[in-house]
Amino acid sequence: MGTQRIAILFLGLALVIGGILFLRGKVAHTNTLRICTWSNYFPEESLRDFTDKTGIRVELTYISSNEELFAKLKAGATGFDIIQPSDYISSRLIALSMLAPIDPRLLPNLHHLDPYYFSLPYDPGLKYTVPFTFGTTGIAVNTSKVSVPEGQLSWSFLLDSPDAGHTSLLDDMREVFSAVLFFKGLSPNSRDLASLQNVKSDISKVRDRVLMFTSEPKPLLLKQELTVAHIFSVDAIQAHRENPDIKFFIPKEGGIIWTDNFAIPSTSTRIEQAHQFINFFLEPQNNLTVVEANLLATPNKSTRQLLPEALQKDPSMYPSQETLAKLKFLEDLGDALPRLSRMWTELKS
Amino acid sequence: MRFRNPLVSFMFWTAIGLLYLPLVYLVFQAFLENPNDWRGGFTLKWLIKLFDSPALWEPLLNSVEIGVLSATLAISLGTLGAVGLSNISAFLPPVIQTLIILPILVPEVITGLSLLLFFLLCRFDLGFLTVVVAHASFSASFVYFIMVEQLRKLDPQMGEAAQDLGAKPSEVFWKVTLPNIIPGIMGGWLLAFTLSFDDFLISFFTSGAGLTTLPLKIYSLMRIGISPELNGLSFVMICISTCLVLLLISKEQSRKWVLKG
Amino acid sequence: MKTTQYLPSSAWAFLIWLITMTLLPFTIILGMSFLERTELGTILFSFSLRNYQQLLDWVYLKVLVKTVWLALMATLSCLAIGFPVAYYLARVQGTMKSLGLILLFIPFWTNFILRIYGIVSLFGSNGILNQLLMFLGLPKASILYTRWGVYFGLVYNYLPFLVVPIYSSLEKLDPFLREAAFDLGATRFQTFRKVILPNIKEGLFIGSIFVFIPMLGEYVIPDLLGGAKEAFLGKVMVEQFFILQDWPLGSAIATMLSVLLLAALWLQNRWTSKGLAHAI
Repeated sequence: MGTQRIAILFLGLALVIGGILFLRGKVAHTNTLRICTWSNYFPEESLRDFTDKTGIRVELTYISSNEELFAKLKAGATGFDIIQPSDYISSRLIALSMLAPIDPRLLPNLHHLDPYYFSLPYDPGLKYTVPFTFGTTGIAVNTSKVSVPEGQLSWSFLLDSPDAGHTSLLDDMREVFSAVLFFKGLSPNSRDLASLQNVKSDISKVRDRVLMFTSEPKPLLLKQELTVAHIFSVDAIQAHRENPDIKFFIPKEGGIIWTDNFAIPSTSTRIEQAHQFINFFLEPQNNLTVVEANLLATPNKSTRQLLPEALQKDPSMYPSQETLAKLKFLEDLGDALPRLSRMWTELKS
Repeated sequence: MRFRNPLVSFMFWTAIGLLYLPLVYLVFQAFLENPNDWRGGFTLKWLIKLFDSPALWEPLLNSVEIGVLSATLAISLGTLGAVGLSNISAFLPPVIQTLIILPILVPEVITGLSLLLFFLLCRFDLGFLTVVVAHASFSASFVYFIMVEQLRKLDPQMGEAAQDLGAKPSEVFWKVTLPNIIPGIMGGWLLAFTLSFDDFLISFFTSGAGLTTLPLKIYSLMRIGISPELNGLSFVMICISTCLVLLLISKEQSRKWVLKG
Repeated sequence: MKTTQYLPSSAWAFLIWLITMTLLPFTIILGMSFLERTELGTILFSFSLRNYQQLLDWVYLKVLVKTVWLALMATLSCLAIGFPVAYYLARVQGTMKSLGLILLFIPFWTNFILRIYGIVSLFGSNGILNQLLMFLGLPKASILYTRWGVYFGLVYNYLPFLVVPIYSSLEKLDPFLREAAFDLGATRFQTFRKVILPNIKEGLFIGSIFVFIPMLGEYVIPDLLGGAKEAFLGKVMVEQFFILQDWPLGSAIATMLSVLLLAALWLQNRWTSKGLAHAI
């Protein structure tokens, strides 16, 4: 009785496992770079160019947040050869030695980068990361629905929006706290509990007024569900391209600047090919394809010169020196982070 | 028998009407020239566009492959369990009963997170295999219950008669039991396939580098931008689910399982 | 546990599968809930009850109470809508029955995310509902991105999970019982209360568990329909894992939810004669 059943069991399982292996066999490629990137960063033709020139195939995985990326890496997700962490996750990954060092000898195109980016607070000298794009956080306004006052906008335009029923804040506690901290003339990296507590009570008032929290306000701006949105510059510029009435502003009090970088996880087994990929997209012409497709702001000074005049001078993409001086990177908050997260939960409870 | 209580039948049809409102709206939207404005006229272009967007075909293929494999895995395991336990299923200790029913009852978010941690700690590469296994982990229990019911309907004397006539136990299984539970196996397989094909949250947690299933793709299309193809896709998906329901409902024994997705 | 000694080998294949794929992952969550988090977001392997202490904090209790309340309201609404639906399906015969079942099934075999997308399109400020209201000269209804949006989403998505168990217990009911009650002079209401209800209470209870427990952990609906303005348990839990890198605290929340689920199962076992598996 028992033996037959065991035989059936093994037969069934063998069939299933055989099937799985058969199907997987056709998917696993040896010479494939696995890249974990943000959605829509690389247009298909740019990747095809890369594959044509180098013979290296590319497989993309999209992440929707830095945290998702970090969670995958922390738990030991292997298999990625290139990741695109933002600045504050980069610093954490560096501290945890989860990144392989960048070898400048394998990146002859590195000199195209603007010198400003060689002295970033989270990775001075670009030992582990190579900036790919940068952006700011500000306010997008649909100017056909809401009139914007003359002169520079203040964060109060978001926090005390004239059209609060169609206003969104980013669903990101650091960004929301920063908006209020900037408005109050404080540092976005403040760890002072008393002032954070104050900020919290301000946010809770804003929360009651605005329509929603969302990290992807772009489709809602286009559908006109939203007229005022706390937004990343990239999304705002893309929205502007589809609807010119949507304009992006960096408030006069200053704002957050962020970079998305190339980095190689220390678990990668294709470090040389990964450098090849980075180098390929540092080359101004190739960089231009990517930059133009999604209207990204590039830290690549040679690419920037190839852009149309209007884009080069667009202050929402390339802030003036004066504005740049007011922009800040988000830093790791260390032991203040759990307190902040508790405040965030409190706010929403 | 005619149904006589007009209030109850009114409530039934109202509820059905409300359930269909969003779906009918999606279908309607799929044919609009301008998805945000019904005055713009009708078109078939979104449906046509659907057929040449490779960005949608790949996730579809992934979803089908995952569905087929996980359903096969689930049907093997669930049937094995049911064959072994159907006679004594009522006397099983509560611990085992709970263990079997747990994958059906636990909030998906917990199943997804716990499997994610499990895979990560086992150092499995997140991807195709982990999603297949994760899907089978909850659909096996569904299959088990279908098969138990199917086996219970089987006349035990048939097997005994076969044995009396000199059949070996293995022959009884292959020649008597199996042919009689084939309809259940097919229904269970289809159910497991659909559970997998529809699943979002568990795939969301357990898929890793380079894998996007159709529901994941729909989710990202919905969150990241306006994409009228999504409306065309909704129409196609609604058609597919209608066909699946018609297929499943023709199998009496799986009927009440249809809803558990 | 005597019976386990006589389990046939094929049953073991299934049980071993369940043990590795269900029990083991849960054990990991349980274990994780007693660990600690480092400042950089990695895990510290030292035993601590800190996470459970943290859960006793009023913030999390408030989130819990709010989630339970919303899930309870949505479950009761599902019962109120689901009962007549199931009753109709159980009593009607012939073509109408098959048609009714098919009509009920189709929406719920349509992809979950698409259903949500449908609701978003319907209720959006430029959606058909508001276009209609505007056409009638009425003020816009803002349902989307409020607690009501979450509530509607929950009722909409969980209704069938409740209809099915009620429907199957009504189906099992002997039709003569009802007629006998009428013959003995009972009114409709009396028949319902004294004859039908006691016989289907098991189905009602199981259906409610099927709906209530998963609602507690719901993550996608509050996010997409509630505009993330309020924290519900599922979202707070996922945030601990993915945003705040506090896996131990997230695990403690998951453990708490699982304990609630097991308690409900235990109650069900105590109250009803047959096992849960039997009643489905």
